[in-house]
Amino acid sequence: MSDTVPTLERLPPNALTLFRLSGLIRIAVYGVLGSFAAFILSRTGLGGWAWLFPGAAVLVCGVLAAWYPPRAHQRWGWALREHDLLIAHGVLVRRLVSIPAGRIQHVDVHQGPIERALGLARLQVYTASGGGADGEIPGLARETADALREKLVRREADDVV
Amino acid sequence: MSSETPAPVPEPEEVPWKMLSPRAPLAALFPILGIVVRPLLGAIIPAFFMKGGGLPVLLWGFIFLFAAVSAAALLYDVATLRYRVVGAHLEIRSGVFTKTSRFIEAARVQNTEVLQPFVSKLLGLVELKVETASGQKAEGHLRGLTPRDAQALIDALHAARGHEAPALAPAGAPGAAEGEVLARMRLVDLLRYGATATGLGVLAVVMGALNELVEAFHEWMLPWMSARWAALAKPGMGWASAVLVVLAGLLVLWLVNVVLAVLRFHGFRLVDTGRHFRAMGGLFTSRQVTVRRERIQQVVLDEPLLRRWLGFGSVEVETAGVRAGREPAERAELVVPVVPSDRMEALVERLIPGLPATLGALSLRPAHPKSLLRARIRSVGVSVLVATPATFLLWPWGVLAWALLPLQLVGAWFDWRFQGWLITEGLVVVRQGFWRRRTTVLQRSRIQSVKAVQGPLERGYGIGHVQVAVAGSHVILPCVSWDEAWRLIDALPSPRRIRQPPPGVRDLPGAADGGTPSAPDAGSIGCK
Repeated sequence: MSDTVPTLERLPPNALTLFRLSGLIRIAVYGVLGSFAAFILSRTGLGGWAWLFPGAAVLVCGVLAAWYPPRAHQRWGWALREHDLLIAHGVLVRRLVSIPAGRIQHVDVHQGPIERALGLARLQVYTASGGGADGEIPGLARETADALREKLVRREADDVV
Repeated sequence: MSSETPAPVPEPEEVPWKMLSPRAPLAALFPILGIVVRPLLGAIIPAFFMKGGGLPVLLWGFIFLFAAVSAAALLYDVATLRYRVVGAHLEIRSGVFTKTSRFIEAARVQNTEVLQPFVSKLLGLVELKVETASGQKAEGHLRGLTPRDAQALIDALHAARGHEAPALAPAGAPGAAEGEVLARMRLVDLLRYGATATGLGVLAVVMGALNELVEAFHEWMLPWMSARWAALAKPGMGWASAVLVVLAGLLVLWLVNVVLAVLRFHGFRLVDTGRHFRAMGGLFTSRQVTVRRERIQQVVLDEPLLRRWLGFGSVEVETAGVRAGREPAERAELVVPVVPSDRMEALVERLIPGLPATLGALSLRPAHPKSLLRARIRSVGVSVLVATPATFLLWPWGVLAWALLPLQLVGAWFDWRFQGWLITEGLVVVRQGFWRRRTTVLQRSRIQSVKAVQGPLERGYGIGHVQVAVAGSHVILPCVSWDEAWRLIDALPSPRRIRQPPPGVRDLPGAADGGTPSAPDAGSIGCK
């Protein structure tokens, strides 16, 4: 990798707990939906075989839930530089996003119930490019998210739309 | 916009409200019926084909009552809509149960569009769409203005931005165009454009028509064929029939494309008024699109192989307004359908100045060599995914699907070989595709974000691709090495112009250096 690569700030350790809990909730939701479908199918003559697919799916998701969060946590990183905000993330598909200073239209800080319990927040950065947030950093410490938001919104706006 | 001086702001109560024409509800009737009925089609069409077994009468009554109330509410909304330009804002008030006031800052307007659908043309009215960068549809949509009122509103928006001169020639007065005519379409141009178009939407229309034709075939053609079965069953007639069907399908596709091109672009002209580019045309629905020069985000040259052979291409101009559409030409705010190849550079230079050389002479950087291997692997994957089930399901003719493999491999090489990218002092130029060559030119000062992406396969080869987003659109550069992608992240956006922070923004303790982050808070912010 080139020497232009900056050192990125990493997410706090309890962000890993957030990723794990989110994964478990997702498995629970898919598991309930799959079990419901399997229950309906088991009444149509498929019998016990109907439980095979949702069972396998939950098993695979369980393995993924153990394997994925530490790697995702390790890959998340960000840096607020003089000319841009840099965000890096992704386990299978790696992404590096640069949002130039002055292009930011607005910044959102979200806190769900789990994030609130863990003292974390999700920062979303929007530009005029449309189609949702251009940059997102989940699992930031609430104080860091607030400080970062303040620094981002107080930068000069170029208004180059 | 810093150069634009806002007009003196009158008191809001001094500015009178303006209403739409009294005939506006009549002009809006058909579009509103379309809006109301379209979501119900999913229920109405299956019920229609079920004939006797459809929905009960009471349910039909509820559906029609709901549609009628919705249409009446929308019509009342049109009849009571008021608007005015106060200071630097267009204010629109509407609503029956929920009153809505919408403020659109004149300086934020990306483009305006004057439409004259067939019914409006009969009533002597026009529709005006005012687009900003904020959404998928026009933020201000006034149905049923007189051409004079539409013109007055456009002029008022123009004046609110600090310009004294009228913005446009009056809608529906083609002879009164001021400015230099950059492009003009003749009927023969539109026939060439339509005949070489291959839109997915057209394919959908043709497939729908074929469905109807199959029914007609059973009703009319089958008895005729049964009477002549001996002649039709001779050896070789199967192939002849297949060729005839394919030719007939192509002919229908060609005809639909030609008709659509004439409907959309009849009498098309592109005019440079100095501050704006204005395009107008359309057979039944006249359309006049005005794009401010400084609002152009990117220009795309669309040159499919067939059109290149015939010596022309199309030019799409995109602003920050976001439009929905299947085809890129539908999503662009302004399209010049036919531009001779030798005049394309002059037009691009007018739309986005600053190309360092002619388009043909630009020394574009090629895609990374390893991206060819990636493209080949993808081609093989796609071919296997299509051909394997085809072989089993359509044996023995399904084997023919494996012909896709060499075609895909050749196509991948051509697409890889003829793509390229270039970064000049002020522009980014990206060329992609061989069969359908698309060259995108965008200004670096318009870049909103840059994204480098590396999939698992790309990681194996040490390559990645870079996506550059401008307002309302984006372009993907050909594959580059991952190190190069990191460098582009820094190099692509041009340096920002320094401007003071807007009033009311409070200073952070210890950050009084004009917004540049210095010492990170608690060691958590900043690049180490």
